[in-house]
Amino acid sequence: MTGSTVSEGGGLPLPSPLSPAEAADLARRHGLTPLAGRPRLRSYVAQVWERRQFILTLSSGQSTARYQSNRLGQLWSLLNPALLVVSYFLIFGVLLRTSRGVDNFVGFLSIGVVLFGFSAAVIGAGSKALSSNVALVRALRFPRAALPISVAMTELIAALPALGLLLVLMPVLGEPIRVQWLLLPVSVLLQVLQITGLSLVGARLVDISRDLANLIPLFLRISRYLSGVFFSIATFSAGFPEPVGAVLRYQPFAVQLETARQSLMAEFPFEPQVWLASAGWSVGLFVVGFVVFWRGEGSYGRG
Amino acid sequence: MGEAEATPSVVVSHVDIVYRVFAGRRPGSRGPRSWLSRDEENRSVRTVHAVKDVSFVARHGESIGIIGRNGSGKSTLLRAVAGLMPPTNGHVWSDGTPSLLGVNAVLVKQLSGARNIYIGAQALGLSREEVDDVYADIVEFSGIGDAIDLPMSAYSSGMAARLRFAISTAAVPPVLVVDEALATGDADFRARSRERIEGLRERAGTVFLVSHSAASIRSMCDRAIWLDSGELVADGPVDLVLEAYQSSSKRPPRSHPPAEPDVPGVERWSGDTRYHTSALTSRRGLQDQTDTVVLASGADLALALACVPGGASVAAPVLLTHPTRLMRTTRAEIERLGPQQVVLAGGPGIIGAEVAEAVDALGVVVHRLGGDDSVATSRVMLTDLTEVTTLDVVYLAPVGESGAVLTAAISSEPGTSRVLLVGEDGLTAETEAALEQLSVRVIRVLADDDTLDGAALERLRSLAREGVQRVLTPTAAAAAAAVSQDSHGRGVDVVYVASADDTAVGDAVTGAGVAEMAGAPFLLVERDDVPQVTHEELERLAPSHIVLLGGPATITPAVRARLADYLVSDADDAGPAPAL
Repeated sequence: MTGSTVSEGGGLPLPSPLSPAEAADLARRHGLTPLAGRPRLRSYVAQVWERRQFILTLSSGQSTARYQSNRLGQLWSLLNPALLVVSYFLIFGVLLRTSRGVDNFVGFLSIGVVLFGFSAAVIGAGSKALSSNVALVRALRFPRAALPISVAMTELIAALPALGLLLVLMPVLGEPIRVQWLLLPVSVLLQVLQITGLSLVGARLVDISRDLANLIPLFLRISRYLSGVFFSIATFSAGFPEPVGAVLRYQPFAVQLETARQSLMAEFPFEPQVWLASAGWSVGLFVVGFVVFWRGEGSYGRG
Repeated sequence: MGEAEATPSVVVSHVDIVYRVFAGRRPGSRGPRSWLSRDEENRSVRTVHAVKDVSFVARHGESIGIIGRNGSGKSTLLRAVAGLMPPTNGHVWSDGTPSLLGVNAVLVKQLSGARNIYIGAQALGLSREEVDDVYADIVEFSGIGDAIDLPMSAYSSGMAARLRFAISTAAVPPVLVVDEALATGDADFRARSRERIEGLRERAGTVFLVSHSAASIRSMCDRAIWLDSGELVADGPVDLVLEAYQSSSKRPPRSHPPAEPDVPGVERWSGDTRYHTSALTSRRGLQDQTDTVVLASGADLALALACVPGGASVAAPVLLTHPTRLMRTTRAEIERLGPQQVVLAGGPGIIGAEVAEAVDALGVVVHRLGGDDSVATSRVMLTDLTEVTTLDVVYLAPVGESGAVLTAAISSEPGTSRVLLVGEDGLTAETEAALEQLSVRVIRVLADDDTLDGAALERLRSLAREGVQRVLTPTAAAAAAAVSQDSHGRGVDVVYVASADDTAVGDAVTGAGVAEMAGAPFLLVERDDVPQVTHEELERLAPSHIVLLGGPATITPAVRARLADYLVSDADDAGPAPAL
């Protein structure tokens, strides 16, 4: 026992603290790194990239766990969209016999329902990726962008059976199997980038004010009706003066569905400007979302 | 001892931490000003100043114990050291990425232990290949064997805790932060954990250990840091600091913290730890002996709160016990109460076999009720304490939200209502089955849509005779005021007041039951404020005395002084206040 820190009067051992400058100097001399605060954007990107295996492991784990407590298990990831499409087929194809200017309306609708459902799932869950994982954020240190990104991956894995179902459904509905089908993965990839970007922004906003979480379902509902899930957005937007019509046709959700339909359906010819718009949105939304999210890094987890 | 030569591993410089707490809505709080005011503090968000200007330097090879009372900011400080809670002011530098023993937050219960090893270890920063290398070691250390391929939901809480510990320490972090995690498992596993931590430290790492227990800090640490109300009180060799800490707790009014002015009529019942507060509350509040005593783990406050209505139904106080040993203060209180039976709430993974043995040694019958986790235990507690077949109201509260569980416990009418906990996986088949066997009039759900969604409510609807209600709005303080208003007239003798803060919920556990048995109102305040609902109810009750549950760190001296304003003097006839 050294005892050197105790004063004669039986006072408590309490070394006097270093000044902030001394502390910073000591830390620098010994190569210690600051823990809090936001890393530079470049090193943040590197950190997220380093954690890619973790993101994948977590995502595949989460999606496996999803139906684990159901007796039919993973079969539900196929049954759910199948039942949804069947019910839409019964309502629109058999009962209402509506086509709304589309020849293969059931195919049109199935693509809209499955792919918009995927976007809505990613944005809905991704926006809450921080607020619903506060325990995790407070327990482990990793770049927080991993959470919304992992949610997008989880939903993508969960949506794969439904995408497969679309491929089976199309020939059944009379669509020819064409080389354009190879564009579907591209369309989905662009969509993933866009919605991941949006959910990164959403996650930051919800972290700033939890009340905003209540507005996200509203945003998604409005988008659902403005994006051509149930009816052709081209026909619908024709009724508006040009700038408004173009905005309706070229907003991200409409573009996502449009590129998917151009991949799978013969009556939607390949339009390069739509694909370019989609690529532009992908880069723009993902970069903006990532940067917006990164600017909040270092404050996540405080409350 | 060459301490001066060791290189620093963590530098903490003038750190303050203020964090936000989402307290839910407070209807009518502070009158119309609250919804006009832009001041965050008056709205549903409050701030807590948990750590105040703390500085220290930790060095390689040191193992540092952090000691302090409940709510003194120990865990918050360590979260900052682990880089998880960004400091509001000041800086933390560290050698590499520290690791908190908190890997459980990322594990997925429905998946196998094997799969969770990959998830957990990768969350700690290992690559997939590195996990391949340490996999066998993790499985062996956890002692789980072939069960590693079963889903973790099938594990006992002891198995799950062992696996978490094994995963957490697989990464050999340069700085390891342990928050009372050694309290799990049997003696053999604890010894091996201790060895493992010692091994980590020898590999030039730094270990931080938070504990209420001076003994575990003394045995594992060579240096101790004492925090009180978020401030650094002492930092030095473990023996000196612990000696000072222990002597301060024996003689509470010392120079530090400054002695609290006495407030006549507002008595404070507070001990050094939640266990001391619990035993003290029972001792001061219950004069008579009881047939039954319920022991609940102080490490699982949601479960402890959920036991309160069942306990009150059989006039049994709920005492908090340390999960792995029967503390002297708890044992003394059990002996004083002289029960015929002691009920342990939870399986051996929740309250260790050592506690059961120690109670048994007192010559009291020990009954263990409940299962491997708090959700399962609350399910058993629905009926097994009193063997009822019908209940009026069952409150469903999420296990992770102590505020909601507190609300549920307070709102439950003893004898006819109970609290049932729901876990992260929402409404399970077991919970449904438990409700189905009972004839429940109403189910009230204190969980939001994320825990129990519309489909779950629909399923619950078929299990209650008169339906299901989702109740999210009232705070625990509002619930307490409402219950008090329904059951007490003006001019009561004594009112029990506890803190509604999440961090101080432990102090409310025993008090809520004791107040019920004493027929006294039970109200809640915040650490540094009297909510409007509580204010109004105190004005109406006009008590002669107030008992405050918890120390100055959980309810400030200023609040204590304010409470004196509600007292109606009985000086005319009584003279000095009668002993409570």
